Parts: sequence; structure tokens; C-alpha cells
Amino acid sequence: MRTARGTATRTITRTNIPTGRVTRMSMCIRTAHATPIRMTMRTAMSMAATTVTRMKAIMRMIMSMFIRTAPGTRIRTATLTSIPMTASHPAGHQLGRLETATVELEARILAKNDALAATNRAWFADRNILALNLVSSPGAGKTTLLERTIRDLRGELALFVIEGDQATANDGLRIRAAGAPVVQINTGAGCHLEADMVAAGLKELEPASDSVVLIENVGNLVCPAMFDLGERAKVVVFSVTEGEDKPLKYPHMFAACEVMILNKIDLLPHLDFDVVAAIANAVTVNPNIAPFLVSAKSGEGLLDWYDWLRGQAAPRGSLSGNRAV
Amino acid sequence: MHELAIARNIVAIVAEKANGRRVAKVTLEVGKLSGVMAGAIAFCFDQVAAGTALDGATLDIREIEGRAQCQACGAEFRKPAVFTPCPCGSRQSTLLQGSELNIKSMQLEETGICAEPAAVQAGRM
Repeated sequence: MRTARGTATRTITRTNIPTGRVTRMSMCIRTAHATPIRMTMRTAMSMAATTVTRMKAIMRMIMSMFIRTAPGTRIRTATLTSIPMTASHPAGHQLGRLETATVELEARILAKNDALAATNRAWFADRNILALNLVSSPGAGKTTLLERTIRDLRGELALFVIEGDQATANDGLRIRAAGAPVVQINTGAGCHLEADMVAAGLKELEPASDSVVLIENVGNLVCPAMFDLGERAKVVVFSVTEGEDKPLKYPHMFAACEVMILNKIDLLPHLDFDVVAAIANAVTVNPNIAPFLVSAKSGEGLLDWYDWLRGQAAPRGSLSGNRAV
Repeated sequence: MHELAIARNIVAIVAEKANGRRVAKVTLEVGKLSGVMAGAIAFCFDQVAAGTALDGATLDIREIEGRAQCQACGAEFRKPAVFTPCPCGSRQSTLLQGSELNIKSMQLEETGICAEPAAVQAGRM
């Protein structure tokens, strides 16, 4: 019987029984033995018209399992009775144990990523490393901004870069040419970096203490907003060749960022882009966002961005709590 | 597209908690300001759940409205969008609810059979 029970259990769970009102059913198989074999099943079936057909099918399966596991048994009768849950249960039936089918979890879905991000954050803090997560739509100029920043601040700040892209090492090569140690992460089908990828990247990159780690996320204004990497702040790069309403279209990202770099301002004379409207839209979504107007190509406006970086990357022992934006 | 990553997280967490048992239903709490589309999770879920303990499980998504407290006037107000200001005009507010992204509970599928000792029922039926 034990064997039959185990086998039958697997058989039943493999059939796709729709959930509904809980019903017990009682099965009785009479064989040549004096004692009939009785089983009570508790199903997740509701008492629909098709239910009986399903029960019969299940019973046939159980019987065939039983015959296979106990050869030589001859089944005389097999009866099936369905019992609504409201009916009193037979004494000794441990129904209470079975009724606790719903398990409260209260688990945060992104808990694993958040825990890994917290580990990264502590790792950065131990080494007094400033980590920034750069996000933008594709083509806004993240890599160009990084190249320029590396060339201009090379002698002053120790800059390390983690490059995230779905494919190719192109950006990594550009950063290396600019003079910073870099690790290229290809996410494949992934549309964003996650904390474990950054942790793996850091192992390879081995950034020095008191340095700055710039993480260039996959070009995407949607998904990276949700995945904490352990950074000190998110920086969104937004270019004047995009629409002024981008902050309103992608509010989650602009709400998650501390800094907005409005790039490619050297192109403004050729465009109808309304800078004031763009900043107003960003502030609508995030009243605390710090905007910088720059051209990574011409260098215009970059000094303010560099001042902000220097302020954030304050050396150990300085007033770390006084990091005004 | 991050809904796929989220669906994977859901399946991983629930499968671990189910510890080998089959899961019939998963109940989620998704805040309307969480940045996640409930429909997109449902779309990915069946694919990700295939072949796991959650194969064929139903997904019950409870959406939670955004609510915030204004930092200027202290009033509590509905926040249907990330950038909805307080009726007083202030944009400085603290989100009270709406950013949830939780697995509330799982319902385990019946283990199928509870074989009762023959002695208990001997003579009946």
C-alpha cells in the first residue's frame, strides 16, 4: 500500500487539476483479501460536471499503479464517492494538517539582488570607493562622456570602469584607449546590469582604494531603474537630440537618479530642443535631481560635472557626511 | 523586459520555499508605481515556470495604488503617477504605498492522497 500510495501521489500531481473548491473523495478497492483497501483523497477539484470523469480517470490510474506494484492482486470492485468539504470527516483523519495549503511568504521579489547590492555597497565603503551607475537611452553619449572624463581627470582621480552592453567589447576598448582600467560585461539577452554581474566585474577589475568606479549600464531607460548595483548614486545621461519630455516618459528612471547630465549641448543651435522645458520636466519627476548641461565633445560645461565628481569622491577622513550636491 | 528577470526571481524564490512540493497558485503584490507591468509578469511567468514546481500554477496579482504623504502640508494623497504632486502643489512627498514588489503567499497543490489506516474505516462504506 505504501508503494502504491507513493506512486499514485506522483501520478496525481502530474495531472493538471484546476484549483477550486476543495473536495475530498473516498475510494474503496475490494480485492480477494478480507480487508478492503480504502483511501481518502483530497482533491483541488470543484464539483463540476466533468469532475466525476476526472475522478474515475484518476482512480483507474491508481488501480493500475496498485496492480503493477502488487502483482497478483485481483480487483473485485472499485467504488468512488465524492464528499463535499462540509461533510464531517471520519475520525482520525488529519484534515487539519492538509488544510494549511496556503503559505504566507511576504518575500520581496528583488531581495536577492538587493542583498547582493548591499554587499557591493559595503565593499565600496570599506575601500572608500565612489561608485556611480550611469544610465541613459542608447546613444545619449555615456561612453563619450566617460572617455572625456577619464582624459581630463586622469592625473587627479583614479577612475575605473565597468562597461555593460548586450554584446561587443567596443565600449570597453574605447575606455581602455582613454586610459582607464575597464571590465566589459556582456549581458547577452539581459537588458540591464544586476548586482551579481557587478560583483563579478569588481573581482576582475580590482579597483584601488579611494578610487572612482563608473558603471556604464546597458543603454535602456526602463529596466536599470529597478536594479540596485550598490552604487552611491545613479546618473542619467540625457541628450538634446532626444525629446524634452523624456523624463515624463521614463519617470521611474529620472526619479531614481540623483544627477542628470544633459549632453550634446553643442548641437543646440541646430535643434528645436527646449532646455528649460527639459529641466522642468526632470524636476517635475524628481525635485531633487541635479542637472548639468554639458557637451562631452566640445568640453563645454564639464567643469561643473568634474567639481561634483571631486566633491563626491572626497578623500577618506574628510567630512563624508557633508556631500552636498 | 525586466519583467522576465522578475518572473525568474519569483519562480526561484517560490520553488525554494515550496521545497519540492507542487505550487498551485502564487499571490503577488505589485505596486502601481513599482515600475513593473503586472501583465508583462503574467506573460513571462508561464514560460519561466514551465518544468519547475510552479508549472501550471496560477498567478494572482494584486495591484496596489500609489499613496504619498506631502512633506509640505502633511496631507495624504493618491499618487497615480510617479510625478503626481500633492493637491497643495508641492512635489516633495514621501511614498507610503505603491512601490511594492512582493510575493504574498503560495498555495501548495494537494499532495493527492491521504491513505487512512484501514482500521479507522473498517466496517464502514
